[in-house]
Amino acid sequence: MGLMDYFKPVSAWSVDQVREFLKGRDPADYNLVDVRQPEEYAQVHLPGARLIPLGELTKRMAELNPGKPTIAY
Amino acid sequence: MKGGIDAWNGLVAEGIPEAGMLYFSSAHSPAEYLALAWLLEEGTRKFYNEVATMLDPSDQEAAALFRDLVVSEEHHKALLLTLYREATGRKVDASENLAESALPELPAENLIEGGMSLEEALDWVRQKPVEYTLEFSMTLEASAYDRYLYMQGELGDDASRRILEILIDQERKHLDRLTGLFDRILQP
Repeated sequence: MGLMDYFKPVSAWSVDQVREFLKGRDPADYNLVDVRQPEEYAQVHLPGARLIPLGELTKRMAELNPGKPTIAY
Repeated sequence: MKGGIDAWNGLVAEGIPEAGMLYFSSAHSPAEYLALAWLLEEGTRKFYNEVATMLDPSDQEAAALFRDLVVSEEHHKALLLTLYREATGRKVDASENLAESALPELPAENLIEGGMSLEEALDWVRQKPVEYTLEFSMTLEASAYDRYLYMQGELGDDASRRILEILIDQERKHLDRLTGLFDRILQP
């Protein structure tokens, strides 16, 4: 048994998978979350993304609809 | 999303490395959780220690922060050792490598929070501007924060929960300090 066998990998979607998912979907059907800092968000962000900086995420989880898929970057 | 906004914009093939191995398999004992958490704290301590020395001399504030984090990771290891002793009744000396002592069948590896190898992480931050190192470190602290929240659910006794509360609070404060400095550096 190796050390990595003790960990559960958490998979992340590729950019292409995210583009495919967002294509043709109504933004009301998913949570798109930008977890970077406000200055970075101000420079550029994905259309429709909601800013919730990483450090605030646990306090602001209620802003996300748990019934919808969530994409974070 | 793998690679974050930089990958979306096609600026890089991949952005900052993902802290992608967040969870311990649920099949393991409390002692194993604690030993694995200790291993990740130790790897992350080594990472911060190296980073503090490799930063540009103009990044003194960041170097000081990373040195503080080195001290804090030592403290976290001590808390985990306390929990391990209480969970197992074993007398493990503070100078011992808890991961090797508790999981002797495993090959010695230096892993940091998120499951990346120490060497891989250092290679990634080498020669990069300090904001990249800070942003990467934010993902490490978020990973640790997440892990201790997860462990609270796995180690249900009151004593463990109290110590894990301390660790959770400290990881959140580390994240706040890293994001605070990162924000100040980004300000035009």
